[in-house]
Amino acid sequence: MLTGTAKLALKVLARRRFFTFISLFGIGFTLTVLLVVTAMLDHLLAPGAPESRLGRMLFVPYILLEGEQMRSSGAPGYGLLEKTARDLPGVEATSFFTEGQPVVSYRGGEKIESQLRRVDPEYWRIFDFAFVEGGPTTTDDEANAEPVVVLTEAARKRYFGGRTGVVGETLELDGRNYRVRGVVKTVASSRLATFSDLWAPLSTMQGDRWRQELRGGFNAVLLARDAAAIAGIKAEFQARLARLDMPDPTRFQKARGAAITRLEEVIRDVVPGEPDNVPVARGLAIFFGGAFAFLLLPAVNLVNINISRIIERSSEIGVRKAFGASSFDLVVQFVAENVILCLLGGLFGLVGAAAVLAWLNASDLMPVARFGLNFRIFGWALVISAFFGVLSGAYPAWRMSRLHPVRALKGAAS
Amino acid sequence: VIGHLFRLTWNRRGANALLLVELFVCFLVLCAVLTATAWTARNALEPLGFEWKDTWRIRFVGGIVDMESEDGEFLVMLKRILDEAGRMPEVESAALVSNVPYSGDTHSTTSWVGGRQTNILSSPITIDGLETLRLELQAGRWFEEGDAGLAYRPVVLTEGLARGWFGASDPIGRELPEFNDDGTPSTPEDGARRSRVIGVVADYRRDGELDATPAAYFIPANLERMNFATPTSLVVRLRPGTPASAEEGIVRRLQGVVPGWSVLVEPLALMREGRLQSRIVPLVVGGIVAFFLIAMVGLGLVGVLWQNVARRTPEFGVRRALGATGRGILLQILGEVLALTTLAVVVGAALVAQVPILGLLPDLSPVVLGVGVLAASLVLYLFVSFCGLYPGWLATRIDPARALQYE
Repeated sequence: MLTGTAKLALKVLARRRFFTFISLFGIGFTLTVLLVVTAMLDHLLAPGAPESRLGRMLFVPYILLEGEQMRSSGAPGYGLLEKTARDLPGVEATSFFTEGQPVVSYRGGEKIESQLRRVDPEYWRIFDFAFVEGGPTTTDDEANAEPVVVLTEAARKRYFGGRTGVVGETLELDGRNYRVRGVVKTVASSRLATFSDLWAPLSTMQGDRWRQELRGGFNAVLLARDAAAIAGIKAEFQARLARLDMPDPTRFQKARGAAITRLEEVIRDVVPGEPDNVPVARGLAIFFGGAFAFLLLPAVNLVNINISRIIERSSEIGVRKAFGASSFDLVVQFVAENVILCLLGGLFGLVGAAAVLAWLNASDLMPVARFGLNFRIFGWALVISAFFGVLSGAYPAWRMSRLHPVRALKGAAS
Repeated sequence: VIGHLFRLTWNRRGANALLLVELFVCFLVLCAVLTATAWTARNALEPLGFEWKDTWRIRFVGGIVDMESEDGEFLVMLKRILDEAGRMPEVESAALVSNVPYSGDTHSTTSWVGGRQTNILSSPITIDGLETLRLELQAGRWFEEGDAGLAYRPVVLTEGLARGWFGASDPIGRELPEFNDDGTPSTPEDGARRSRVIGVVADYRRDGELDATPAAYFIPANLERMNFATPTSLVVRLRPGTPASAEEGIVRRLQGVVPGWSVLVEPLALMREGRLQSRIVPLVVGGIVAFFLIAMVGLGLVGVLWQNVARRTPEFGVRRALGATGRGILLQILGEVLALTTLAVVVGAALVAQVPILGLLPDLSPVVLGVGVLAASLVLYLFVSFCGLYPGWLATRIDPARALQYE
């Protein structure tokens, strides 16, 4: 029966090419836009190397210090993390690392600017970087403040030209020489905790004041034993933060913040909320509401086209009704036809989205963009297309099914 | 005739309701895109208030320093950097500044201007800053050595903020107004050191050509104690014609002053490009999306009108038989759809008018919004007329004799 419906639908589509073109144009364009956004979010939120275990990870990218006269907000400092995020129950591994900081080199009169993260040895165990040369910085490097560095393939190209086998060679960063320990595959900028060009041990940082700071420059990743442990870890972190002794109560009396998942981190950037409470439900509502609102205009457009085509098919409806088809049969048939049309449009949408993403990757609008389509996004395309098909097909189908057989046979629509 | 067109539209309200929704949404989309464009274009016409050519911002990123600490390490460093930069032969003028043009770094305070809570850029700046950024002094004087000994805190306002606080009266020598949390004027404590206006400079549009003009004032940089008045970036103005290759030498000299810190040079010209791009890209993306949305609606409209013409063949046949010209029929079809458009525009404009009435976007002047709405209406009318032409032309070709036999 399904193949029958599909055959009939394709016949109908082939009959009036102009209308089919209009419909497919609208659906294809709408799906292209939605799929491009979906692909971007997917690359931010889905696990993938080197953040393959993202589902078990919590981060501490943001805290707020509150005093009577001052507030200071942003990345936490190492001192605060050491007191609140070390050895939390339910956590398998913990790493503290800095945000990416710009570093400058000159090579043959040409300026090279890169992002450098300083990381502890645990970092390399929690994230699964793909090493193409050498290995990670080690516990000994950390203890001895060895000036060693891990770089990406893209950075290797910038610092050493096309050469490979650079382990053990030195490169100059901010007037200081670093020895190369290893080279990893380049990381996409959508990987918020691992995107960088270079990595060096924490102890290579100037001075040791940073070990006490409450705020500035750091982030933590907490790898939970399993997803079920996440709620407990969050609660314990919050409790420790509330108990934290403030070193100088004349300036700040209270620290607020939360250990958050990647989803919460992304929502926090978009929807303002309290520092210790990310409005996840509101963030999701805004996203899905926005997508729905964007679907509305194309849907109304398709409804309009479908309704005005009733006249063209009124004799068919009349015949089917006269031979005993129920209104429900007709509704099912028309909605199915519309869904098939939308799935076809979804196919165009996928092609369009692939083209837009390829263009984004090639352009320099975003640093190291690695967008692409995958089966999840294909799944979303199916879901959105089918939803769109039902949304835009239901009302016209209902209108069609209501036609009186006798009037329909005479060709008088609506 | 127009009243008749509206009656015809009303008689077919069932079929027209969905078209109306579509045109209404289209109008809103057009309004959003065209208003944003008008806003950006309006901003581009205003003078900048500073000069970005031949200037660099130099940042120092290092071991992570607590900016509020009082141990002076950072201050000593700042002073040595400023000295060193001032002595370099390539440098015409050097200053320490917060709220550097195009940087996006924000050092601000909230106050009340014209009854509205406003973010005001509060920019600490060293004395040479006037020359380094080429700010335009319009009245009064700039900061001088020895200002620290004054009984009041000297402040230089931008033109717009001076007008907002003091209207047409002369702001020089006036004290800065202070407010309670609810925006009512407050009386300062006795004996507190008040801030007093000593000069006015042209509006400092540090976000650049395409952004709104922020309210801003300048205060003397404090290099004695870390606080809100300690600037964080160095800006240098190079002698015209300094080659880009001079950068490496300058960076190495500064690195000698602050070993272990990253010295980051960014020409303001590059930062400006980035800023302009970040403004133009969303407009272009929005424009492309809006274009496709409207093209889609346009195609849909052609389809619907086409079907309408087919369905109403007998009606047009009767009109032709009774002596209506083809032109008359075409005008009727166009008139009907334009009547519908008018309805959508009126409802849409009423909705958009709520934006200034409710004060939703305070930065958006009603004039710019008006231009956006007018442009959107014009584009929609032209576009809808264009879409109606082909179906209308088909209707003019209906042969009355055959049309009357239709069915």
